[in-house]
Amino acid sequence: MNKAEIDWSVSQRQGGSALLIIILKTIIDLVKNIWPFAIAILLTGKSNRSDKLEWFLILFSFIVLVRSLLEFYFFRFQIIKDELVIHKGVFTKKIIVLPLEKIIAVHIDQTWLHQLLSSAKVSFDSAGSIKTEVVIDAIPLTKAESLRQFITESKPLPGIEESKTKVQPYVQPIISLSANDILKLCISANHIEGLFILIAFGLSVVYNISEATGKETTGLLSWVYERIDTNTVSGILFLGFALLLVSITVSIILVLLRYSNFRIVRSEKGFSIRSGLINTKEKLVPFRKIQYLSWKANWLREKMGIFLLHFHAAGTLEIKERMEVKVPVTQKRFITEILKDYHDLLPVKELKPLRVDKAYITRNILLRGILPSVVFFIFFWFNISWTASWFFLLIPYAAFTGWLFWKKFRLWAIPEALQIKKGIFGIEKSILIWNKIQSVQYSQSIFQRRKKLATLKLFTAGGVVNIPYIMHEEAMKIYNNALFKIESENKPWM
Amino acid sequence: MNFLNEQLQPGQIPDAMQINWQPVEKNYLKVLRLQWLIVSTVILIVAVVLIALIAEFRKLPQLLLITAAWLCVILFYFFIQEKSFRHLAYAVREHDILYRHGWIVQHMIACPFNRIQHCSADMGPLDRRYKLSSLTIFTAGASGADLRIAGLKESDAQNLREFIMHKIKTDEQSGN
Repeated sequence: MNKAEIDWSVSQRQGGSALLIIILKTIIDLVKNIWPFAIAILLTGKSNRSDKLEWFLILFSFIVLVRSLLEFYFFRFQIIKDELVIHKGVFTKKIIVLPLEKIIAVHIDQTWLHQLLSSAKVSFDSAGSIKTEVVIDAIPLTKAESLRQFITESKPLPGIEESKTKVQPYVQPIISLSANDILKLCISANHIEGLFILIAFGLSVVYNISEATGKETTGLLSWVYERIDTNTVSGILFLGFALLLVSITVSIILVLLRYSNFRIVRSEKGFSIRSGLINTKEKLVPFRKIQYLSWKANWLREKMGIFLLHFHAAGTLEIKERMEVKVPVTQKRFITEILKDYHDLLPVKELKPLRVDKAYITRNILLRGILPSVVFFIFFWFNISWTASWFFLLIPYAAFTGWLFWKKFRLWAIPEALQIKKGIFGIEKSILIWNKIQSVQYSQSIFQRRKKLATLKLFTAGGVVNIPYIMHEEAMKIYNNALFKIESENKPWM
Repeated sequence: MNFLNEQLQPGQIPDAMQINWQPVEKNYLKVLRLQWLIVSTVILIVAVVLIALIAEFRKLPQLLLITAAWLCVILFYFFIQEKSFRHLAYAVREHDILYRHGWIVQHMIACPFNRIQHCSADMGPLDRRYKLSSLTIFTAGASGADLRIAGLKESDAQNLREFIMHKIKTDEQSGN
């Protein structure tokens, strides 16, 4: 298909493949909503179960087909006078008009079915605060790319001056993960998270079946419990080993699903991020939307030199979630490459760092150690008597975590940007250009007033940067400097 | 075009500590006290209903405990409110607006005019009684970045809103 031939002003239907995708979507929607009832119908009464099943399948197929056909038939889209117009809805007609200038990102996503049919889902993020409803379920991939190109090229991006020396787009992706990188990510993944996901999924299935059938479904759990003798060491070891194995498997699967085929390509307007093994997702994060960047690692990943980089983008919560991309940084040069379009890393060795005051440890012991342990001790003392004194272990834990935070925290600032390093067991680094700040808050508690300390919050459209327990004079310097930079320079923040 | 990048000495950057703060209207303390009275009454009603419904609470020690707890809460609330009111103030500078509030934790938030998206002035039923209004300034910042100045005279809030909107408009036009 020749991209230039497409006349977007003419009303368009989704591609033929869309019907298949809509049918699948409808099936999934219906199954999600009615599967407990379906099980209930099939499980109750033994006499005419096959009749019930036949009727259920006929009715289900009929509903799916009619709903999908109507949805497909009534969905049309076109671009009229710099506005994307979408007509949809069967009983409630809906016309969505989205000015092209309001579109801040165009996403192209491909599930396995889309890949099979060479089509793609196109969705649009707008600058408005309302929930984005503009989604085209399936059009041919070439057409989707053409539509994205048409939209991004037809509108000038507000707040960005046309650069005379345009950066040539990279032919090679700036980040792509090798098998070795994926293996590293699998090893260092949060396996506890994988276990919790599995437990939550299992419990929700058990709960749904129980709700639908009205029967006790704890039988299976009891059966498993009875067979594992938790009183013996071997039983406990077996249970622990099984849980460990399951959680590692789940987290490895999650990493493979999320990061297979992962690559980032730099275009003129932003980062194009593609990822996913079965469901391929492609997101465009415009440079101007990025408010600040942070990258973090847990203890193991820090040792292995792997970080997860986070774009803190401006926009509504929904847009932020859609742009939430955790970029696995397996090589140090990846960070330098990504930061090129925001701000280079600060020369920290040449700068004097600002540190959190030692009083932070005392505060941590008071608020996160002594206070909760005393409350828990009093609350549980009536039930478990002196065993509740175990809660006092929170005090050394709070002291240790407070000390770790104090030890790791560093802030470096130059006239253009500031960089922060912090963490407790892991590490998190972030970089923020002064100009991206929206407002500044200076706070002092009674304890801080006595110690001449203060906490600063730098609010950006992508999140908050917190600078706790620094000297009052330093806090005021940062506060005044932030305001001075925002007010004296006429640089757009987005 | 000549590119200028003159060095500024630390003393040349405006200091937010050297500000003549403008306190909010004294009548706002009356509004706060009325709010305190309403909240205290609601807590009392809830406590009375619980005592009426639960026989266990009607014994003398429990009654004394509930009364003491109620008194502690409302007196602490009253004390904090009175202290906080003295700290409530705002300041309008050439390029930004500042607001300070809180007593246990004192906050000072600054919002530059060139980051303001829009602002609104609103009045609650208690505010109307004393002809007061609150000015809310919205930025694109994350939760907590917006600024709400309560206890302004109705006309002051309107004027301030007009001033800010005019300021945003003229700054945009002049490119400042």
